[in-house]
Amino acid sequence: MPEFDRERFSEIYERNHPWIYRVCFAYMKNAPDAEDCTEDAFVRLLDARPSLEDEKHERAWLTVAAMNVCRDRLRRWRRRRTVPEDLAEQLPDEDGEERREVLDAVMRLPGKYKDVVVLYYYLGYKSDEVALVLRESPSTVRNRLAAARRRLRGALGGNAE
Amino acid sequence: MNESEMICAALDAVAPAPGARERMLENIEKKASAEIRPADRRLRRAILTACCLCVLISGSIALIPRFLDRGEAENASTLTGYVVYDSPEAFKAMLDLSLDAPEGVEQVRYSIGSEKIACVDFFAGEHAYFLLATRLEGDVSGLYGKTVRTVPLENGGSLARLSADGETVWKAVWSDGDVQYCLANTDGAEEDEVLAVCRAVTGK
Repeated sequence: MPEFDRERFSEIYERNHPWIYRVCFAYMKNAPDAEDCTEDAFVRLLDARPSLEDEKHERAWLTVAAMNVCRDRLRRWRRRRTVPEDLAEQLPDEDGEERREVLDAVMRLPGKYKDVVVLYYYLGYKSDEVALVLRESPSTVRNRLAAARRRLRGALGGNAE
Repeated sequence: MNESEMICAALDAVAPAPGARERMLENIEKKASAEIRPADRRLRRAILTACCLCVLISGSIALIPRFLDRGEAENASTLTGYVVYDSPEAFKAMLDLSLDAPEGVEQVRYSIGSEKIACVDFFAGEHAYFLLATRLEGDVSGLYGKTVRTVPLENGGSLARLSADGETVWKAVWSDGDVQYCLANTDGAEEDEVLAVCRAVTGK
C-alpha cells in the first residue's frame, strides 16, 4: 500500500520507537523482551496497514498494539508457569532513586491498571478518550484510574500526590 | 512534581540500549518478510470463513429444535451459559428458591446456570456484584485466589478477600438450610462497601 511504503514506515518508526519501547518495558520489565515486543508492535502495523489520521492516532494505535503484544506474551508465560526476569535494576544509576521507585511501582501494577496509567498519564489522553481506545465504559476507566492511583500511592508511601 | 509528571519522568528515563534502534528495525523487516503473503492470507481467511459458516449452520440445525421445545424459557435468552429471565419468579418456579437483589441497586439481571444455580447480577454504587444461590454442594462461585483476609458475617457466614494475579476478589458465603449463597465482587470494591451490600442482601 502506498501509505505504508518504506519511507512512510521509517518516519513512523523514528517518531515512535523510543516511546513504544518504553511502554513495552513497563510491561515486560526487561530490555530484550521490550525490544522484541516493540518489533512485534511495528510488524502488526505493517500487517494491518491501518488508516492513521494524524500523529496522535498513529501513536495511540501503536501503543494499544504494543500493550496487546505484551499481554499476549505475558499470558503465554503465565500458562507455562515461567515469569520474565525482573531487570528493573538495570536502569542507569543516574536515573535517580525516585524515578526508579515510580517506574517500579508502575511496572508492578496489574495489566488493566497499567493500561489506563500509560494512556492517561503518559499518552496524555482524557479518561473518555482512554475509554474509547480500550473499548471500556468511561466509568470503568475512571474506577481503574482511581484504583491505580491508590496502588501507586500505597507503593510510593504517599509520594505520588 | 505532580503524579503525572512523576510517571512521565520515570518512563522517559527508560531508553533503548545503544544500537537497539537499528537492531529492532532490522528485526522488524525480517519478521515482516517472514509473515504470510497476502494471497496466502486471503486463502486462509476464505477457508476459515467457510469452516465457521459450516459450524454455525450445523449448530443452528441441531440447537433450534431444542430451544423451540423449551416452553418454560419462552422469555429467556442465553448468555454465557446462563439462561436470563425477566424476574426472580423464575427462581421460585424452577428451583424453589427465593433470591433477589437488595433494594436501590441498578442494572439487575436474573439468570439460572446449569439449571441449578440462581444468579442475580447488579450494580451497587460504582461496583458490580453477583449473588448466587444453589442447593448444589461445593463452591459454585468460579472464583479462586489466595485468601488474604476473612471477616465473619452476622448471618454466620464469612467474607473472604482473595488475591488472584494481583487482583482483589471479595467472596461472601453463607447458608440457610440446604441452600448455599455467595455474593461476590471482582472490580475492586472496598471492604465496607461489600459488607454493606452483604447486610442489604441478608437483612442483617
